[in-house]
Amino acid sequence: MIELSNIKKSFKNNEVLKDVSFKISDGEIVCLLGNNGAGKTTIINCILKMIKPDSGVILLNGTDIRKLKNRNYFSQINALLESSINVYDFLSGRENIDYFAGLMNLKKRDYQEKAEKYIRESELEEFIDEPVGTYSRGMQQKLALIAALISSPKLLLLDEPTLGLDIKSKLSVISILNKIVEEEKISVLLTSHQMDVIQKLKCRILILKNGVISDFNKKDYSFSNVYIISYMDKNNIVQCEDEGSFDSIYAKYKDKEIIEIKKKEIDFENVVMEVLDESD
Amino acid sequence: MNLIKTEMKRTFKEALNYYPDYIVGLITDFLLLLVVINTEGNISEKVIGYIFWILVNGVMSEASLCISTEKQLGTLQNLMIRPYSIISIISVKTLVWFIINFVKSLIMIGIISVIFRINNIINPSFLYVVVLVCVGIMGISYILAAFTLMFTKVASFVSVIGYLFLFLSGSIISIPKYLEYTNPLSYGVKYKLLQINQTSTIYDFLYLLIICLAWYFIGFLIFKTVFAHSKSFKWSY
Repeated sequence: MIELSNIKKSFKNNEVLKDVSFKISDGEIVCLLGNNGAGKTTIINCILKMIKPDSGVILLNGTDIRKLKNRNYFSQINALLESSINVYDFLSGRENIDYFAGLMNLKKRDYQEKAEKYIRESELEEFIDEPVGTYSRGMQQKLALIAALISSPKLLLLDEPTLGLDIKSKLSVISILNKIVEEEKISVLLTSHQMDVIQKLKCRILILKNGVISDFNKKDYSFSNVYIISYMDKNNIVQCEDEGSFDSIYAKYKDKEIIEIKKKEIDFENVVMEVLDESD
Repeated sequence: MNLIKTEMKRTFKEALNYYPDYIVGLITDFLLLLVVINTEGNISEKVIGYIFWILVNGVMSEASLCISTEKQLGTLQNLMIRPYSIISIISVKTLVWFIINFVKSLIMIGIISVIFRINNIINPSFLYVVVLVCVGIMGISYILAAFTLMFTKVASFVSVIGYLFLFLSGSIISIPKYLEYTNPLSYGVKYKLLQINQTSTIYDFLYLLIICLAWYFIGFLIFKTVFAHSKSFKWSY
């Protein structure tokens, strides 16, 4: 779908992107993690042609995006930008959808059915004809997501899509995203600081650190053979960790009054923080 | 066509929402008309200059105000990632404002006809001259928009520039001869008056065509250049 090769970008003397290369396949969600100022938004802006990389190439389905006309390119790509307001307060939800559809050169018959479906799934039917100024932040973000999705983009770029949302709205946006990506096979590049969001998305994780990208494989940090065993010992609950297969652990502790044997789970947030904070 | 329809719907919705602004605008224009009428000189000539100014004022300011408003709302980036270029979007917004101002000028013409008994202001030749002048003024609008891309505060001075053009229309004071040849509005008004006096020649028309197209293309190129360069460094929208 989209492939970035050896992207470099500096702002004055600050080399933000040193050598960024990665690709996103069809129907894949890729989460880009990085500290503030790591260059996540710069990558998104490079893909959106808003910033010219100093060197490197970005390919969309094998074609250099510089050779693609905006009319063609932006009919395949859409985005929700963190720094940008994505809906207009004085228009109703439906008018916002119609306006952004018009900007994407869509005719009503091409998107109406899809828009109604997304409105239902986002539970916005009741408010869709109300001015967006009366919406909560979560409702506005769901509406912006609908406006971005009705053009059936092949690639959707989401810069901190759940920033500032309460838990309910966050979960709602995640569930809409998971569902739509699965149904429509849209590729998504998402940046976020919120580990709970990333954990709930069916996504591949990339870490952007010191201007380069590396894959973050959850399995590398998982405790595949570590179990926490809780058992009774002289009226006390004892908890211990042991390594091995479930069967071997069970065999080892079966003489004790076992309360629970559970797999040790990693603290995802801590692991990611450690990866991001590791010194060079 | 789809973009024009889309912008038209949005602008009318916006106009309905903020209708007091438009009523105030109409009242201000009427008060200005009273000032224009009460200055020295031929009333018909002044009224023509004034009607031209009403029509071009919106065209001149809209692109810059659009860039400034979208920058302040935080929606500019969102407009830049569309299949339509930003220049197409602001041009269409300007066209929509031209239509709104055309309606406004029709109201003014109605008032002028009733109160001051000045008729036959609008005829086919008036329309093509106005369209040509607006094309030229669009170039000035692109230049202002380019500066607004760089410095948002430029938009605050656009209304002052608009009033400067009221003077250049010749409707308040007579302007020096050489100024008549420098911009589309002054020359458009001059050409229209030559037409009314039946002394216009093909050369006058050609000069109007050249000055309008020259301003348009200069403005277009400046906007394109500034916009293209805006991508080579980090913008703070």
